[in-house]
Amino acid sequence: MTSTPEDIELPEAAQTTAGPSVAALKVTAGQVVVDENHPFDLDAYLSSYSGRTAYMRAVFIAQRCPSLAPQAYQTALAHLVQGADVQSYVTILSAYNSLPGATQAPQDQEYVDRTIANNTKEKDRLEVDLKTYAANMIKESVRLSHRELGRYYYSTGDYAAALRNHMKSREFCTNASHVIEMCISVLEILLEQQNYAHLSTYIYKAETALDASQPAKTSKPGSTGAGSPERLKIQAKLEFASAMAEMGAGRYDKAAYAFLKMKNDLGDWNGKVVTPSDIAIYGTLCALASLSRSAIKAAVLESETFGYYLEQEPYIRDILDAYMGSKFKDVLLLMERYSASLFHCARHLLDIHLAHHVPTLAQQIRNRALVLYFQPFATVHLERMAAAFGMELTDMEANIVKLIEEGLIKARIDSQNKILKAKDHDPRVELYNRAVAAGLETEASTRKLLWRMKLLQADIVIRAPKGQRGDGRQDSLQSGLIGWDDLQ
Amino acid sequence: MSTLSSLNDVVTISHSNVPPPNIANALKSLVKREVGDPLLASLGPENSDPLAHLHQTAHTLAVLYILSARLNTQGAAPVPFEYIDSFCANFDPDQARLAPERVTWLAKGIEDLADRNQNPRLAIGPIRNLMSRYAPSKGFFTSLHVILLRICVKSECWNHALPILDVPLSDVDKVISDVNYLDNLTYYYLGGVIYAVLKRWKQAEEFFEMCVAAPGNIASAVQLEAFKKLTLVQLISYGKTRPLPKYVTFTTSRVLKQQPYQTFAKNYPNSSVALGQILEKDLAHFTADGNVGLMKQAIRHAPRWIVRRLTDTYVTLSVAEISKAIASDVAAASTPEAIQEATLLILSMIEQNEIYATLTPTPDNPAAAIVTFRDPPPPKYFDPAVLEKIVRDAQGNNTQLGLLDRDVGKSRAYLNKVNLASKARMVLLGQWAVKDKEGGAMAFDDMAELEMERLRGDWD
Repeated sequence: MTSTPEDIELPEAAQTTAGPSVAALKVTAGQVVVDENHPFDLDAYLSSYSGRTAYMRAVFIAQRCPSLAPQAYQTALAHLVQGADVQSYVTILSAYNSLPGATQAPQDQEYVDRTIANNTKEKDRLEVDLKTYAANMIKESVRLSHRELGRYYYSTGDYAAALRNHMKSREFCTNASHVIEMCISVLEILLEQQNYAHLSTYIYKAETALDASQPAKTSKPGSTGAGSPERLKIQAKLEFASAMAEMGAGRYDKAAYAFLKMKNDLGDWNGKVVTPSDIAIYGTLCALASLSRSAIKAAVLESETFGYYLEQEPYIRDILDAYMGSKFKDVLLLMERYSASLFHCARHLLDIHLAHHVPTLAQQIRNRALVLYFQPFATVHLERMAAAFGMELTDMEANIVKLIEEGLIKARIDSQNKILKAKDHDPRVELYNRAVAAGLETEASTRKLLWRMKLLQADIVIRAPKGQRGDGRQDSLQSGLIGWDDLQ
Repeated sequence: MSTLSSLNDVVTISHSNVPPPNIANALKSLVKREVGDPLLASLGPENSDPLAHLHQTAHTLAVLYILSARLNTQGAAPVPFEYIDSFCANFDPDQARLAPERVTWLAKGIEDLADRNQNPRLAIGPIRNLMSRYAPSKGFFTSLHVILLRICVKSECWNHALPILDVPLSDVDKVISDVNYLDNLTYYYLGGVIYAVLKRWKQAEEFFEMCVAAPGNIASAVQLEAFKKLTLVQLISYGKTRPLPKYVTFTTSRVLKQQPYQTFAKNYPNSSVALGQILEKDLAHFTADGNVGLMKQAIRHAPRWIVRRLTDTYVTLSVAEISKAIASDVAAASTPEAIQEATLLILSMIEQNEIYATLTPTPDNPAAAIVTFRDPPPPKYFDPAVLEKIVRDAQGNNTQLGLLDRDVGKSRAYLNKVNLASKARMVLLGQWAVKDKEGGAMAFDDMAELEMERLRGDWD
């Protein structure tokens, strides 16, 4: 298999963030409040994650939520000490110690030294292996050693090197399952980096490889046959990755469909990258923000695969039921977890992938709810609407004005009596006006067309005068260009 | 073909039975010589006026040549204005069409004469006569159209131009009148200017658009000016700019894209203060273009568009709120003058049927007066006459298009092309036959059959 240049090139983001993984997280300023109105159980949340994502989420939470910061950092440190990423350990330790009022934790120098020594030893060993195999030109071994190197760098937090090695291993892949393995590893790293833009290339590669391996089913029954559990796991991972790519790009409707399609078993990604409850939340929020009510009913509630995920998080099921039952106030309340303002749901804002999208999603869900609410009415008092949604009257009015201007609600506001009146339009009159306008316009454009044809026939065409520079802008208009000032 | 060498010759030949085309040729060769025009411009022996011996209608050609020479030559004997007037009313169009350049020259001469007398309006009457009788049909574009428009603009007699502008141009032929692309551009540009002065925004927009959309390979400075004015007129007329039609040449549209007017257009229709600031910033540029007055009018129209936008969103609004929307900051909006301004604006818009609303006044607190917007009243009955007229116009255009198409079909160029194309096909067929010798003559016949079928289909 020859390697094409495109396989070797690194995604730009990976090249620029060669530093510790923590710094690569996009941190937006914004503090989240956690109290009884916004319950959030840090330990329960983090216990379902393992591996790198556990401590990364903990750090994310610590950065955004000052009240939970000490606890979060401690959990992160506990996870880190079991891993091999020394850089992150040092960074997080200093961050923890710089927290106001935190008890200073000493740097576990012994851990640091031990890990650095281990890491260097490991790296040397792997590199020696690589050189040996490269010299011997045994493709499979080279591929495996590249893969090991990739995994090693991933565990120490060097994303760029990890990606590089995985890409290198592409050259030595000999059959489809190797390609799939490579793609999955790359996807893991990209997801952790939150590099959504490049996910789609690798998803596509993996899918092609998966399809290519299907004919092998008849000759080699086993690992990558269609319908086999292995294949299902891989498909589920790919679907999840593509859904994340769509969500990262802001295409919530496509993301919703991708989430809803997902198979149940994520294999080893379960807990290492994402949990089923996460998937439930992402899928539902995207669906609520972008699909119509009937579409939600068909796709979400009656989908067998997604039902499994819905079981994981009961409150998501509550939100869905409230939405379908037009209890919009409950929907908004549940989304905020018993608070008045829409933007402070702790659970959502502290999730690594979802945090950036929460405001947009919330706004879209609210807009849809408003439009749905108004649909059956001809007139409605704005106060009633505000009460139904739990919003202030002025906020409600501002929202409605925006929706009208965007054309989503066809109505007008009676600002004196604070009533929203639907626009009644007479199709006959509209049709007549449109027909007349279209007729006049056609007549005018035909007339102009005929005139232009006549000009062309008579050869009255703008041309550069002979002997002058190309563009004829030397023409100046001699005939009286009068000033407009005196024509007020 | 006799050569003319003196005024006497000119008079003689005119009185003779020589057919006018020959007279035209003789005169043309006369003026080609250096002495031609001065000769025509001079007076006869003993200062007798050759014009006295010539009849305006029967000897149009001679009079035309002499008049045009006299008016355009320095120091020639002046011609009384009434003579010019009566000539334009009595000349023979068929004879005149034999010398189109002279007609143009004559018009220019009349224009100069009027200018010299400090009274450009004088020229309008005769040239209008000249034009309406010279053109073979209404809507036939001649160089006289442009000259007339120019005079109207110079003399600021806007309304005199209307009868001409209102007839859409439909025909042009270089044989009849020597027009070039600049004439076309100038006509539409000046026409747009006149309409804009008369505040007929829709028609002004159409004229400017036709100027910008004239066919050609490159952009002309006239089109640039027309485009600037087009933007402003569109702002007044629609509240926003419309995209250029697709047939505007690519080079033209490229040149037009880079203009400071775009900032103005983008910020329309914001508050007058903001727009005024944009105007101030580039004032020198705008003044040089001569567009300041138009821009000021656009700024004055801006509040109307803001109010129109509000009618889409609201059913009732208080005057205070409208004033807030129009003005740039809240403080300025609540002053009594601002309130009154807003009230007057709404009243004038209602009167001019720009919005359909009722204003319920509250004399003690004018700021709280409520404006109620209604939907425009539907037509009481669907007027079939209007629809029929539109359909008829469209059909008329269609017939025209069909005639044009048939003309093209008859034209030599097209027939040549088709001939060549069919010949090329037969050659190709022959080549296939040669290659397919093994298959025998049958193959050739089959293919020939198919080709003939196809050709026959094309002709239908």
